[in-house]
Amino acid sequence: MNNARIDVQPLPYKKRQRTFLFLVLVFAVSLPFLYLYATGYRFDFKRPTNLVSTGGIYVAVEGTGAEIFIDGELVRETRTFRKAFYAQNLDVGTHRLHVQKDGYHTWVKELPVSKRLVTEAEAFNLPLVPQVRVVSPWQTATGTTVVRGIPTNASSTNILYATTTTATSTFIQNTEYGSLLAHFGTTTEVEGGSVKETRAINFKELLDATTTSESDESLATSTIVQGGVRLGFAGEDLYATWVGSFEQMPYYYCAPDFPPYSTATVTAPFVLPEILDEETDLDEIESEEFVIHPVQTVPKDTACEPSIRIDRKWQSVQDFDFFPGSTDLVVLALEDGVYVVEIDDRSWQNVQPIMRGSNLRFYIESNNIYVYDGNLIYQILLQTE
Amino acid sequence: MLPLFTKRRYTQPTMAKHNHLLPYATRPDFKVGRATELTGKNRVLYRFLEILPGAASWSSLIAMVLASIYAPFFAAYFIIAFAVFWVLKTAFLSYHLRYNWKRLKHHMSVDWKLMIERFEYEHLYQLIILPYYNEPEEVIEASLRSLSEVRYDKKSMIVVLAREERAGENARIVSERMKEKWGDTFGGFHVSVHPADIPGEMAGKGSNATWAAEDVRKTILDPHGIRYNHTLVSIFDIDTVVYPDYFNCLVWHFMTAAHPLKSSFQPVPVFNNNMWEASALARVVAMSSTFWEMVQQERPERMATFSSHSVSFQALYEIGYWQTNMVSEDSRIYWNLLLANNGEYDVIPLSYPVSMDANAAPTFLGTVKNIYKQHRRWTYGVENFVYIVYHFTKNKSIPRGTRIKIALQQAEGYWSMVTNPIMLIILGWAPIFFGGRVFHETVLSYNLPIVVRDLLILAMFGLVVSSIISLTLIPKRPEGKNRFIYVVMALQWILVPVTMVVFSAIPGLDAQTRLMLGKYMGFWVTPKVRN
Repeated sequence: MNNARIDVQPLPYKKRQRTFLFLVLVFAVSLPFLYLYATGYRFDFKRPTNLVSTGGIYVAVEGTGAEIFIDGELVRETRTFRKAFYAQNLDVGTHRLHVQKDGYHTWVKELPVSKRLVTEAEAFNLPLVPQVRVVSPWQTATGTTVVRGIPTNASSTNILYATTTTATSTFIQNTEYGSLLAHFGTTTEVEGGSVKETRAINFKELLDATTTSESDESLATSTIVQGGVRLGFAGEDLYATWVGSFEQMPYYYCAPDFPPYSTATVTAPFVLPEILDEETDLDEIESEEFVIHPVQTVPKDTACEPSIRIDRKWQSVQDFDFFPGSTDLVVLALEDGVYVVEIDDRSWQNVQPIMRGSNLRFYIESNNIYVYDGNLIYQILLQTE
Repeated sequence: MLPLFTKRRYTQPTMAKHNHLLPYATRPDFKVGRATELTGKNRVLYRFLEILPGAASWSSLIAMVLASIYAPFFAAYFIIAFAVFWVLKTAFLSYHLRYNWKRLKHHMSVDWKLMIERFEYEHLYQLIILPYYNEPEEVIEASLRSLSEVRYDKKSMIVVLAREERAGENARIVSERMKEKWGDTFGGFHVSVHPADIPGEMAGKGSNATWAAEDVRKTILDPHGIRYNHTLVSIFDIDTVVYPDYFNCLVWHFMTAAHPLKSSFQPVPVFNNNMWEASALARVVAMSSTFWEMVQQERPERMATFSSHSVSFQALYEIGYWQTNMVSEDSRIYWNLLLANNGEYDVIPLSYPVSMDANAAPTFLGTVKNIYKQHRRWTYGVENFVYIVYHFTKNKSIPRGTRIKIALQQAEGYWSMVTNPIMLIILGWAPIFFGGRVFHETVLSYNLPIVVRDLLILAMFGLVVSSIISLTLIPKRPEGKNRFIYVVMALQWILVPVTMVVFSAIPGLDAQTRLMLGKYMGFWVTPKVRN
């Protein structure tokens, strides 16, 4: 230690002051740009105003390994902790989404993107070949399920003992089959207060019904209410009606119409109907000054009937219920199979089969779907990877 | 036995009881500790000021939640602005930190003994006061050993082991052993015994140190004619281990100070004594305190004294030593001195370290508890804000601009320490949860967590700097410790977002709330554990 000089002086006050003022300037300059960015504005020097208002899409996906495409471009592959995707910087207009996964049905939707707003959607992908657990009336002594004929409309996950014999003396009755079969019994049977009868009711009566119960409750008519959504018939059609609070209502119940997706440049601006009137100049809308507080809303006093017809593929609906754990998806038993249909009818409703076949009935209990073809009962395995 | 370096024998005049006090220090409320010690309007004012910090902090946090519910757009914009402010503040403080690191390293390489040769300093005495309670003997031993190894004339050093009578027989035995072992090493070695249960006193370091100082004055300074303005008092925590050139560095700064008798001298506390034994959590918390002090060393106009520091005996005598009725006496002494000297008092940063203990306990949960309690005691320093503002309304001799500036700086410091981490790390997501349907459908609500996250990541780059600096400040790795510990020491800084909230903001809020509710805190002795 021979150093006898102070070579490092204390930080001069003026230098500190200059640094402080510089940082204040950085704060003042950067903040407006951050606000613009955070609210969806982007710079586009090709446009006359240089500042463009964009929107976003948020799509949630069940399961991993799915690929999300927006306008044909792959944007995300879902993983364990990345099952949703938020796309921003999207031009105002209609965009096409599809979610695909090997071995699964593809979910496709066209959705509108509005200025400074995010359009939400939830995709679902059912297996092309359903995975099932077969429940038959008979079992071998070792518990193996006995079937007459191999099911061809599904892939069984349990070992089956296929036989052509009708003799059952060597087999044991499967009690599970008996208890499940009771759920597919006559309509006079009451199970936990759930009695479903097919009865045509007046649509207005359906809308005027005032219950807002959140409980999974079945009424004496052909309606089911769950999570603020009421499923019920009006004539031959099945409707999903929002009966919960306005704050909780999914936007698609009162979504306005929008133009279809086109690969050509979108020239017509998409605007919310409530600001359009006869005197609205569409050219002016494109260049109107932005507002900091845009609002995508269904005003409470707007005449909107939050009711959506469920696509039944022009077949009669033999049975219906909510998909387990969801109030956005409906399970329908139609003439040619059991299907899952999404309630969201923006552009169209995706319909994917759970199991094809005629005269199929289904029953849902404890997040399991059981399908009955008159002979065997199939537990549909709703696995997610 | 003390050497007589003084060329003239100076006899301290016999003073009337308060004649040695500066005029402002003679006020009956000069050493107020809490509102209950006052009466009338003064009490109302003091009580109001005690409520203010906690009320401001709680109001801010509640306002954030309410804004998220009723004005989510405004809340979102505020959070973004706040995150930007945080990044820039981090950058600003990091700039100071890096500069002081450079200065600290340089000061540790300077030969201070050589530096002070040009001065006449042999007349100066170093009075080292070591208050203790029931700390382990090896802790006291380490402190005394380090004093014995300084590159300074030990015969000019007077060591005072300030014992608490209430600590009992063990403490007495330890003090006698230490005196026997180290008594001849120094010019003077004195054991003072602070009686228990003196009315009006709060048991703690302040009351103990004050007793010791007055005891030394009567038993050593006056009988030997040692002048108060020739005596530098170093009031050290008992676990303080000084570096070899501390007193040389102190003398240099004393001799070159513009107003040496109106200045306190603040070293940089590094918590290195048990660095290798402490948990990662304790190390991060301790080093964060060191970094804060290093930042303050480059902003001396904002500094107050903290923990171990030095000051002239004359300055102390002029205000009647430390307060005996409150917790954070280490910083309160600075404010006493500032007020008594009508604003003409400085803290001079030494940019030279003293080593102390990081908080450690036999179990991890014990460590967590101790760190929390220690920081709650430190952040109870908000009682100084009350004291300052109260006296700023009384002492008009201090320029108004100075009073306003100091009050605002202190207010911002105590408010931001408590609210900023909570607002950023927890409430930053409040609009997303409480914002309502209309807000949830906007790009703003989706981008808010992304923007805030990205800004916080940017701010965390400062942790890389902290990590590097911390590795240069730690002592040599002992034998038996795996080299992998360096990796742990570098990566431990990832704990900062947690420690900021759990060991800074929350104990700070706890302390402010106690003060607000009138549940005054007592002194808590930090347990010292050594392997």
